Formats: sequence, structure tokens, C-alpha cells
Amino acid sequence: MRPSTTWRVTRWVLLALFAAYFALPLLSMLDFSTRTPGSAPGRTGAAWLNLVQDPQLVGAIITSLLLALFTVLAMLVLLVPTMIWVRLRVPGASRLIEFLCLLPLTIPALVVVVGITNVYAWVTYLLGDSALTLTFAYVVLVLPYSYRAIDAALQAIDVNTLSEAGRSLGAGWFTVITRVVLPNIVPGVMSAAFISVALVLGEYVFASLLNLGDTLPVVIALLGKSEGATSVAASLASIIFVALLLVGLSFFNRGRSYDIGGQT
Amino acid sequence: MTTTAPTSIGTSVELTDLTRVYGSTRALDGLTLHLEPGELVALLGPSGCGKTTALRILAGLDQPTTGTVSVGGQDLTRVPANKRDMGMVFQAYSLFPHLTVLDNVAFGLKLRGEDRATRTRKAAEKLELVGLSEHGKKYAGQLSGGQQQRVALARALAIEPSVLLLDEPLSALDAKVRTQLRDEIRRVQLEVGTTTLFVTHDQEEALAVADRVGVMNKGRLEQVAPPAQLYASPASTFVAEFVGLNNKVAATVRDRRAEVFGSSVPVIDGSIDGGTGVALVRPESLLLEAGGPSANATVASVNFLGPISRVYIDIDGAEAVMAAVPSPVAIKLHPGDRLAVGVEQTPLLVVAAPAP
Repeated sequence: MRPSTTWRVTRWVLLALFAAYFALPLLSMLDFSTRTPGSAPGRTGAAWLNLVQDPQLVGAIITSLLLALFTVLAMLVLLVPTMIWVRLRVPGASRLIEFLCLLPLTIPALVVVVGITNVYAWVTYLLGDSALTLTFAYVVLVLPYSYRAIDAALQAIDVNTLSEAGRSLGAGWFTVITRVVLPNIVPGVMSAAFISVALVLGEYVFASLLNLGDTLPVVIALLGKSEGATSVAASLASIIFVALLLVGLSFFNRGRSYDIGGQT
Repeated sequence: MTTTAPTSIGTSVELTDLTRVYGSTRALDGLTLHLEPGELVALLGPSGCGKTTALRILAGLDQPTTGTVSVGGQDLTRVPANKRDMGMVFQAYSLFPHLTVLDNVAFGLKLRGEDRATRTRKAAEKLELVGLSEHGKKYAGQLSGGQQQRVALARALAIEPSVLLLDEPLSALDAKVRTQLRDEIRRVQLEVGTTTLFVTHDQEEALAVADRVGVMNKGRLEQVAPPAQLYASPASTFVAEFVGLNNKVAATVRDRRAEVFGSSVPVIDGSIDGGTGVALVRPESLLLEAGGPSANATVASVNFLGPISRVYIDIDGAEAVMAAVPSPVAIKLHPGDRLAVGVEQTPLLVVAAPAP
């Protein structure tokens, strides 16, 4: 049945409203960041040029990207084997693991920071006060989202039967995890990784209050007070970067979605 | 393709006094079973009888509480699953979704360090054995359920296992595919000659493929025997009732003969020594004669099942029975017809009547 005209119009209006709500701030940011200072007409790329020229900003971008990378690596190394292992060997503990992983979501960031400050006194004492030590806090921060993504992927396959099949064919536990289970949860692992990157690139509270040096959001906030255009350009760049990552992720997953279920 | 001498001679398997306790349930309660080299033994029983536990213990996927597992004279009780060299086909579809059919079959060979050419050749051979040569490049999701299980069989055989374990491999399939694949499994098993343990809850499946069938109940093995013997001489009421259909008819036993419907029939071992009991009479052992002064029964209804029909009969002053009759004969019977019902001279199992 063809949708009625009213319904089609409503659809387009809703879509347009949503697009405007989403795009207008971004367009305004683009406009603001390319405007010539003062009331003179014309456009300038000075603010955007700062992204690759201003040493403080460049340093912050590199720090944030490294933080994102380390956080993702640490999260994957910690979470993926644990979750597979729990599912296979100690299914009784899965509730507990889920609870622990979702905990950071329920406690306000500010509260966590206050609590974690004392721990970080030790971290900085042992590892120095590099901004990269924020990795530890960020791994905890991204746990709830990563857990969800990986858990969904694990639920989509019959982990137990696949691993038993692997073992009967001669695979030890390590091989089962790396060559049987992992390749089949790649989409979930990728979304966990991408969501983590997005979170780390936008994290301000921990970085600012733990006072561990300049990450991108901290510098953006700082520049916001002096060089508005540059700060907005940096924000927009990071939004576009994360958006591209997420769009890339959905294409990546669509590309490799072989049908897992069987047909009789 | 010919099915002549096995290409390899299987290994013997010895399960000795296996017990498996989960909490307060005894999933296995002293199971002892011997498999001859190259033999296909089916473990048959209702769900929860311990047959799958027995198979998983043999596979190394579960550990016995007590008892031992040995294969070819070697004690494997504490050897982990991945070191046991057993091929297994699961009830659930178990092909690795990220690998092609050929790579699935070659997976075990890769783990054994075979080079690419060798494993491709061997995997292709096994795919040909199950008739799926042309599907090597597909993924599991592109195959039907029956095809997936055939690939799983090829994958299990590719590692040239000492023992092949089949855990209800046909349960997820529809009836027609199930029969085809059942026969195919037997053909392949005879061809490669691998000692095989086949677990199923379907008696027809067990009787059709196995050299011997073991009937399990509550963690115990009730009887192990070749299919025909199991059917003709069940060792217990449970076996008689689980394998095939039975009519329960009042009988009197004296001098190893039972008096049933006026016929005197020999009894098999395990029957009661004397007195009154219940004879378990197969539907095809009932003799029906039309009308006459000796008539003792009335036809209640006739169910056409193709080559045979089931005739439900009310016996005068006794419980109803069901007879299996060739359809050309049954077609002449109508509800209300009077019959003389007797029993043919095959030995019967007569058990004590259950307490009223």
C-alpha cells in the first residue's frame, strides 16, 4: 500500500526539522570559524590553519589521539578475553561482570574524579604526570559502552558450540579465542573501539580536574576564552572526525555481514 | 562412489563405570560401554537420560566424576578435548561463520600444521565424500541446514579422528533431509571405517544406522544389542516401551509359555516365572481373523499410514489394542466389524502387572 500524501509530507517535514536541528549548529560553527575578525567582509582560513600550526593545539590533538589509541588497546585487551572467558567457563559470573562494567555509567563523572584523585596521586608518582596516564581512567569510563557492544556481538553467535567445535578439532583455549570467537565478533569489537575513540576525544571532566596536561577538549575550552574562532574550528574538526569514524564503522559492518543463521 | 573396505581401521573405545554428578542429580550412573574398532554404536534414550553427557565425556568436553575413558587401550580420562583427536558433529549448527566451507573443513588440518596444498587437497576429498565439492567457496550462512551438517561431518572426518562423535546431528533438520542424511552418515562411516558413537533420542534413527544400539535410562545403560535383537528381545519394560510400540495385554505365564488371547506363546528371558502379568505385544504380532464364532473383538477405527495401517480394536472385556496391518488387508476392515484376535508365535516379554 502506498503511504498517503499526508504521511509522506509529515515524513519529509520531520526529516527536515531533524536535519535542521542537527546541521544548523554545525553550519553556524563553520560560519563563525571562517569569518574574518571584526566586521570586515570575506572569509579566512586562519582559525583552521591554527589546527596544524598552533603548537599547543597540535600537541593537544596528538595527545588526545594517542589517548584514544591507548584506551582502545587497553580496553580490548582487558575486556575481550575476559568476556569470552566468562561466557565459556564461568557463565555464573556474567551478571557480576555486567554490573561492574555498567557501574561507571551510574556514577556521575565528577564523583568518580573526586574519588580517583587519590589513586592518581600514586599513578603520577609511579608513572609521571603525562596526560597519557589518563588512559587508566578512560578505560573505566568507556567500559559500559564497550561492554554493551561486545556483549551484543557475543550474543549473536553460539560461542559455546563454536568453541567446542574448535576444541574438538584440536584448538587450545588461546586458539579458540583468537581464531574462532574473535573473528566472529569483529563488528562488535570495532564498534566498541570506535565508540571509545569518540568518548575519549570528547572527555573534559577527568582531563581538566585531574590536571594532567592538555588534551584536545581542555585546550578547546581554554582557547574558547581567548581565540573563539580557533576553538570552534577545533570542536568542529573533532565532531567531523568522530562522525566520519562512526559512518565508516557502519559501512565496515555492512560490508562483512555474512549471514550467521542457517536456513533449512 | 563405492562403499567397500574401510580406508582406515578404527580404534576400540572403552568407557568404564562412568559416573557424572551435577549437584544432586546423577546424569550418569555407572555407564560401561565398549565399542569395537570401526563399529557404530548409537546411544538412545529420552532427554535427560545421560546419553549426551556420555558423549561429551568421551569427547573431553565434560569430566566424569568417577570412571575412565580409554581409546585404543590408552587412558584419556584426563586428556583435554583438543588433544583427543576426536571428530565431533553437534546438534546446533557449528560451522565457523567467518570461514568458507573449504576453510572450515581444513581448520583442523591447519592446526595440525599441514601445509596449504595438503590441507586443501584433504579438505576437498572430504567435501567430495559428503557430496558438496562445488560448495567449497561458500559461507555457512549460504548453505541449507542439511548441507551445513554434511560440511560439519566432513570437517570432523578431515582430521582423520580416532573416534567420530555425533551428538544428535539430525535433530535440527526437517524429516526428509533427516532420513537422507542419516543414510549418508552411515554410508560415509562404513567407507572411512571410523569407530563412531551416535547419540539420538529418535529410535528409528538409532535402529537404522547402528551396528549396536544402547538404550539409556536415568544415567544407566538398560541394554546394548544389535537393532533386530533389541527389538525382538528387549531386556526390560523400559527398552520394550522405548523401542517400538507395544500393546499391554493381560497374560498368564507357566513353564516359560504365556497364555495370551487364547494362544500359547513362548516368553523371552527377563519375563516373570509364573502367575499373571502383562505381555508386551508388538502391533505387527497381532493376528486378525474376520468374524466367526471365535470372535472376541470389535474394530474401533482404522488409520491409513501408507504401506501399513493401524487398526484400533476393542477386545471384549479387556483393554483396547492396536494392530499394524498391511494396508491392502486393513482396507477391508471397517469400524464395527467383529474379529478373532490372536498372537503370532514370536517370543514375548511378560512383566509383572503394575500395582493397581
